[in-house]
Amino acid sequence: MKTRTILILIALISFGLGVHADETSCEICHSKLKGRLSQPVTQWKNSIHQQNDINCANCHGGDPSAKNMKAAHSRSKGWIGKPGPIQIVKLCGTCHANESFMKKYDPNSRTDQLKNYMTSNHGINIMKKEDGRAATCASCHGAHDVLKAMNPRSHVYPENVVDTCAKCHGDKKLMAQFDISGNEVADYKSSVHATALYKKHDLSAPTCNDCHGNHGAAPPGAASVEKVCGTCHVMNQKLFDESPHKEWDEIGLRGCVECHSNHAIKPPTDAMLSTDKGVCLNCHDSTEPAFKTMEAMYKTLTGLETKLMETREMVNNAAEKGMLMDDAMLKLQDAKTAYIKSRTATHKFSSDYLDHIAKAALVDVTNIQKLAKERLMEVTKRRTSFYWFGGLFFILLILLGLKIRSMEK
Amino acid sequence: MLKKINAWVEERLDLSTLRHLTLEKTVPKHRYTPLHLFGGVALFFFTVQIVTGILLLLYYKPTAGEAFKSVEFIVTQVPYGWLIRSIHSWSANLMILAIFIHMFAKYFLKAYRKPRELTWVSGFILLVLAMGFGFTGYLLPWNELAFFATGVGTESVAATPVIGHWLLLILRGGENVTGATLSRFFAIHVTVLPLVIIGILSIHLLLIQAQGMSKPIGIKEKGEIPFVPNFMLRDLMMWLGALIVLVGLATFFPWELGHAVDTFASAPAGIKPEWYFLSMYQTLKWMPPFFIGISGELIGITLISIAGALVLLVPFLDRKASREEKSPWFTIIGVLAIIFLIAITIYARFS
Repeated sequence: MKTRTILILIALISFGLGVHADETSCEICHSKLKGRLSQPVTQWKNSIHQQNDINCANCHGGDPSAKNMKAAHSRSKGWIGKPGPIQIVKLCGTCHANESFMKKYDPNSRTDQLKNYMTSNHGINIMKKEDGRAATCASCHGAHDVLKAMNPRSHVYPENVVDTCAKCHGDKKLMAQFDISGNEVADYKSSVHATALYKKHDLSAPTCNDCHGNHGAAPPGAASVEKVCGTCHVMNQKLFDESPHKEWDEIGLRGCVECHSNHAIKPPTDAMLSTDKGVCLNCHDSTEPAFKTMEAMYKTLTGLETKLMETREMVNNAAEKGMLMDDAMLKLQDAKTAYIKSRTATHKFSSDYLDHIAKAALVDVTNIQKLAKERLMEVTKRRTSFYWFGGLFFILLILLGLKIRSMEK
Repeated sequence: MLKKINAWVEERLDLSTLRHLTLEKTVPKHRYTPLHLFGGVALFFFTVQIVTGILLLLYYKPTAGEAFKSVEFIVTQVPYGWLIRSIHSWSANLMILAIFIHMFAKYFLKAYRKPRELTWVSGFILLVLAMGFGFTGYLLPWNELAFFATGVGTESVAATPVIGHWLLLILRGGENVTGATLSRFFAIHVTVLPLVIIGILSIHLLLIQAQGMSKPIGIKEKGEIPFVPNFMLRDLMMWLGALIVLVGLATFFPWELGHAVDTFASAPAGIKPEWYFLSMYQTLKWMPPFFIGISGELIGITLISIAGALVLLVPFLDRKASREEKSPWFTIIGVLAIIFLIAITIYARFS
């Protein structure tokens, strides 16, 4: 009876302390060590692998049930110690390229990562050239703290992935060895895409892997760059393909990049079409018909933008004066959409086409201006009526005061 | 002709009271006489409320689906609808302001003292009713701010011990603020409150007519002026001034309509009640969640109720004034109350 009570107590205390019966000797020993020898256990304990019972021995080999270090680290039990770059790729591929194995955990899981990786510059450097400076799976996903990509703590979560790439691509010395500038990350962080990602927390904003691919990482070629941007900017790509610039790749020009740059993409402005500092001037001069097209498009767009701003001011002015402007505000949204559509239309590089699209926006703006003018006139009418009414009643008030004074004299 | 009509009426009705009012009634004239005019200003705004309220009723539809649209229709399509609606909203606020000024004026002049205790009590009830008008009327446009503010306002009723939840259900017509709440707020706003207020107001005015206007303690000036026309003309001057201010505000700062209620949307930030509820709102906000096991909200409501009861009972508490002696402590308390109310209201508005 006494023994049973003691056993129950031990079981309860063990449970309370969180000691699991299936804890491996790797965890038991390494968690007692310090620094880099205990860190893998701490990191692994929060990882997706730990949650799915993939333990140390699955990658490092050895005997996780052994009672001492020598037996646990036995080469005869397959212990490999710290795997090298090629080993890492192969080890990850053992499971992640095995469709039937991965489906046990997630029926929608991809298993083409290794295949893609082998086609990438990273994969070619590691696997074919045996150049350990390139990235392996662990360089991006972490060695022990591997998490699902959409876990906000994951190294490859959209808001973290740029910094993960920056570990190597932000290192100018290292990048110089591969003939890469190393400015890409800084450029990206100054871009409109980074603003959307970091300031607006828009996870759909592109990061490195959205354009370069994640496992099959490689820069898009001149012919494909416009298709890469077109993944999100569908209309721009469609219009560009219908434009006189569609043959750019044949002369080695890189679609969107020629005007918008690649990593440091700034918010587009009408000034990109201006006759003094427009991007068209990079290739065209003022004697060419393209210059006239640029000039006409710039005039249309700036004219529309000015009108839109004027209209917004009129609507706000009427609203500030107490007029109900909800209908005008709604129409203003439509006009703004039409204006954005007009800016998109510039990618066809046809001033006639732009005029045709901008006409719809102009009609919207004109109608709103008419509405705002009517409301502002109504404000004036109301206020004028009040001046008359107020003035008249004020005179009456004075007369009453005088009457009281004369009565009581 | 006029004499004939007068004789015809005289034969059928006793017009001696009216004659007394128009020919014989006098009002004491002293340096504080202008302070007596704010009751008339409140009455003027109340009349404006009745007239504009009836006009709004011609178009307003008290259902969750139609309320906002009907007010939108009033301010955009109905001729002068914008003015009527704006005047109704501004006048409601100015009426409460006038009542506050009137009440504090009477408080400092100690006009509540014997034999006018019931005039003070009925006046206090009128203030509570006017605030009730404000609370129920605020929801009627069924806009986003009103919807969420009413949710918060009615929530505090639930803190009442034992019957709190039941009261909440009665007030809201269910667990939440819905179309049922709108229907009953509308019914209370246009039938229950007007009936009660007209009754109490009649008593208040009758008491003033019966007892005449009070003269502050220690006032030596013995002058009297006839009620008609001298005091009446002063009233008229105040009403004209009030009308100019009211129409000016309605014209230059038309009352906002806000956005239609979206019951699935989360409450917008910074929801606050009307200015005259801000002192109570801030008091409740300052209460801790629990204090020695009692809910903070209940403590807050109890404190507000005690303050209200003390104001109601002022004529019976100020024994000195009832003996026609000066009571400086009540004056000091009144000054402190004004400073506190203004400070807490400003703090609550801008915090």
